Amino acid sequence: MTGTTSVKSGKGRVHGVVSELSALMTVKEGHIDEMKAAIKVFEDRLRDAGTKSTLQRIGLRSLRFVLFDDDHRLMWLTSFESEWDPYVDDAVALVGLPVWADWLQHTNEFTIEDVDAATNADIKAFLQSGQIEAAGFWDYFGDVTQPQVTKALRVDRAFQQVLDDPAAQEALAHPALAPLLQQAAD
Amino acid sequence: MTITAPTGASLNVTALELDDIQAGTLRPRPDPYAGAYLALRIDDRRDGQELVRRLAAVVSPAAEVLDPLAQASLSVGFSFAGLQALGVPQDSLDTFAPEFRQGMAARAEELGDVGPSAPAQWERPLGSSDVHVVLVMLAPDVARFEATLATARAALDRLPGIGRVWRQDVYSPHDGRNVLGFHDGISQPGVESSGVPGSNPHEALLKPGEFVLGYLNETGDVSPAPQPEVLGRNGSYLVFRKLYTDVAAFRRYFREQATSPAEEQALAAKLIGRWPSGAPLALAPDHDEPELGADPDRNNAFLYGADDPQGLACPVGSHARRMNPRDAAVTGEVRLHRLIRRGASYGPQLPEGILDDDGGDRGLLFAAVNANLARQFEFVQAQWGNDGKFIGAPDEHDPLIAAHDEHDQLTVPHKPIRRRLKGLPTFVVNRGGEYCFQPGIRALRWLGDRNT
Repeated sequence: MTGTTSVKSGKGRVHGVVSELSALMTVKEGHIDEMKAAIKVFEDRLRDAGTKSTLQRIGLRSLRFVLFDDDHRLMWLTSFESEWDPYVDDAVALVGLPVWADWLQHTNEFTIEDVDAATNADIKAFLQSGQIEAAGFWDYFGDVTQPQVTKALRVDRAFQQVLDDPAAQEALAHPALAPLLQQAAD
Repeated sequence: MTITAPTGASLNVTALELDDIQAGTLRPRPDPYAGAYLALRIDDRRDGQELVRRLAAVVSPAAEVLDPLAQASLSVGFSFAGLQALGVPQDSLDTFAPEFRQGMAARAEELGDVGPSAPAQWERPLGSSDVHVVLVMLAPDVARFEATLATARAALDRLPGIGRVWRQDVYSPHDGRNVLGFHDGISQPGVESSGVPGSNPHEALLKPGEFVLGYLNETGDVSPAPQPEVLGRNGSYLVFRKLYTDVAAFRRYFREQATSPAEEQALAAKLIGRWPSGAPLALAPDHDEPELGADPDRNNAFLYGADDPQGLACPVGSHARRMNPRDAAVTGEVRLHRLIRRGASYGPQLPEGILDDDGGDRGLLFAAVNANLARQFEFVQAQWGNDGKFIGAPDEHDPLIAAHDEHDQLTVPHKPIRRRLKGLPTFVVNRGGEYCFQPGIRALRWLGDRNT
């Protein structure tokens, strides 16, 4: 399979800073157990706290694998920050080709026989080939990014530590800290 | 509105049949009162049916209890094992709610009844298949309670096939205060067409189907009633749990957190959501107001979302606010998760000022009436009690009734700086309970007259 990294699918929907990619694939006959095991490995890798910084660089927000039609078909739903098209190469590179290929190889649409020889462009072209346009997409935090949320949580943890200190009230009484004091009551 | 029952009969699903619904389902309890829970085991089916026939003649329908605060009442409920022991056919048993069929002990994981609250630790025979019939007797005073007890004894007379397996005496003192010293049981929902107005004038009456089977509920559906129709209609599910309360630990905790008795009381009130008199923090944020606490026209007339969105008066995570968030901004629709509460104190009060546990068994005999165990009682227990996501605080749990670990805390909003109560001990342990089906009076006759 060959592909170019410059082609945009134009199918992903966007809400604020978040966009989605939905794709449909079919599962190779007799590969369902391997497919499920590979999905589990992929999920475990994403849930591993050690990959959080990588995920932030990908901008991945959510990911869902849905096997349906009596395990013959797979629906792959993702959402991520920024737009998918310009970042798909980055995503493939950051997660690593073998990790993608590990589950993609169990779909009929993935026709590359030598997985080790697959390129980022191959993965992108493959994902685009199965991409379908969502009719609707919404994200509650559509207007904020992971780094913004993470920073807000870090600041809040620090702020709560300050508030737990008996001297907090006196310290926050300084006029310069008035905006913080206004947030200290709940 | 009428619907056609499986039998072909037309059923009115909005106007309650108060002459068929047990008084204990809908009518408020007396205040103060004395009472008891009595659990029975049916060893002989015919004796069981005879007992039910006798009970059908003495159980008061809601329509006859005109002055609930001054009248005694006797209610009867059956566990799933009890209905089996009475010989209810399997195709009928299969129509009961799955949670009821499993029984409370089997629902322990969902209810958070783990550790010291796990069924293996429960007081016997609670949680076993020996609890078949549960009689609840409540009366305004000891004399009338004894008379009600005598009525129950008469129903049991010369029935050797009925075993008395458990009894728990309960009460509410004159000041209505529970074993922690707080007046509780104040907030009750009103039910359309029941004649019971509810204690909060700002809360619209709830559809009867939230509490009585066979009627329209808040989702616009008719609450599914067990079949046949004569058995299910006008019934309710009664939940009871014996909640041991470690009063000494409660007092010690607040003694350690506070620098004065007034602060102790204020912090404890923040955890409960009301002052000892029953005055709600939402209306009395700074100090107890006994007159407010004692005024039934005012002591529940408030909202949270409109009056106290941040929880500066009543903490968002306090017990009372969790158990009925009213109009507060929480996940979900509060009206789908309301309960009629019938809680009662049990055990001797720990004398005032005592900080060491005396080993006494005391607490709350929690009881609640609802039509949908999963959507009402179990939801309240699991989502509002044992979780905090619905108020945006996934790491916090109900500060009073949930089991706590060392990380548990209660955020107490306060200007200028909030306070956090950390290291909350577990104050309440479930010592056992059961789900009971409280049938209508026609259903009681049907159960008693079954020719099996």
